[in-house]
Amino acid sequence: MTDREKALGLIHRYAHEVAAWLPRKQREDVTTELRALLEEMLDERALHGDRPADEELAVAVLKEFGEPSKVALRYQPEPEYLIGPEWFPYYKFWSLVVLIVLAAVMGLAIVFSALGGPGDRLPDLLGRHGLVDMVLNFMQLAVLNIGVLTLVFAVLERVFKQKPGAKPEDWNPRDLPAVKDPDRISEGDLVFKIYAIAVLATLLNFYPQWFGILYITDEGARAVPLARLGIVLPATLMNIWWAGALTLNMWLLRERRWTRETRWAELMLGAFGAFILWAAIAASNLPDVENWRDFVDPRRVERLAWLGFRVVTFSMWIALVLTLVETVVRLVRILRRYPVAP
Amino acid sequence: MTAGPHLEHLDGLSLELRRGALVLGVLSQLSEEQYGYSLKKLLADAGLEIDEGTLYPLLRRLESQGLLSSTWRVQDGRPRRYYKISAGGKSTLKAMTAEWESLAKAVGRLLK
Repeated sequence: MTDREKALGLIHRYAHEVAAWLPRKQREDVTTELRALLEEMLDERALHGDRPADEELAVAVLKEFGEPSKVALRYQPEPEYLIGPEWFPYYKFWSLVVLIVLAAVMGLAIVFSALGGPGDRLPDLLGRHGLVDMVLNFMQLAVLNIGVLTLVFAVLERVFKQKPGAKPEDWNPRDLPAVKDPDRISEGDLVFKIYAIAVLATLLNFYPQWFGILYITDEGARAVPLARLGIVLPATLMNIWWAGALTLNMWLLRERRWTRETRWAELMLGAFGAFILWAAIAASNLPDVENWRDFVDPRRVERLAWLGFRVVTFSMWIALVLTLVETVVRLVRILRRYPVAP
Repeated sequence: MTAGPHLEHLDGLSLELRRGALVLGVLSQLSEEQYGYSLKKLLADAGLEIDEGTLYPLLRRLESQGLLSSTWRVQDGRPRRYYKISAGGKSTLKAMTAEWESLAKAVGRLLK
């Protein structure tokens, strides 16, 4: 291989590397153009410098041209973000909140486990193995939650980029909301709702065993999942509800205002949520305690199963009543705010 | 007090100052077809130095914005992409030139 062939090989590798950072449809074209231009630069430098167009000169030319990823960036009309500067402060804030809440929940769980069982468990919990378990659990929960949060914000970033009528020239000071505006949305509130719905939907679909009651045994705390408690959750209906709630909140975030239609959608979602709760209560039955004997003290199994079932169904009844009350309040508000014309 | 802290942002500020001027310079020289390297030399001869790693991506960006059009041709045994200002580019150049002249006058008065 001649010196010139070596230099051209380096240029070819460079052009290919720059193109690799670009969208697929641009690559071939940019590679051809860059190769031609860089070869010309090389020959020009060799001619004016009265030196051979060898690998050393190619290295100098390419160094001057710049690092491939940086050169590729100059081809992009706009920088691309997973989470852009507009959303990043919110993302940072909620990530911090999530981590603090997780740490607080874990701290409470430790206190609960230490105080809830027989004997002094604190030395075990804070021992070497206990601490390692704690850190691993925290990391697992943190990765899951931050992952869902990142996904939520990445979706928001894309939804907002496509927002119609968001051009600065469309902005009209007359459209500014009143200082006290009942139709104004709270961005922070909506972002939190979207995140909470995404986390709950993920956990209930993929980690249902994490939901239930905590039972303290001599060996430590054990979770009894809802299914073992005889609680039947209508998964399909719940997923439809998650999807509806996510769509509504994303839409509100995009439109930045409540309207009569979105108020009605919220009301319908509330009523649908109440129906799901009622369906879950109606389908649930006292559990078969045979399933429990492998890990619960046989003398207490029936009492515990009854208690667990009642605690969960009672909580669901409370949630149902609260949802119904909230739905009625919303209905009254809608009818007052948007009276039906006679 | 040293001059250092005041000059530490000079590169970034100069780059910002040059950015718009480069677009204007490039558009102004493409009433006749040029390929990347010939355009670079044309600009350099007029005193506007621009490195290749900036110029070639800039040409592509201006083309994707519809301000330039391009064709491939083989000349001297090399494939070359020739760029020319488009109709949209001409009206943009006209507007930018007016803007530049007004800005240059105003800044000139301010700097006196």
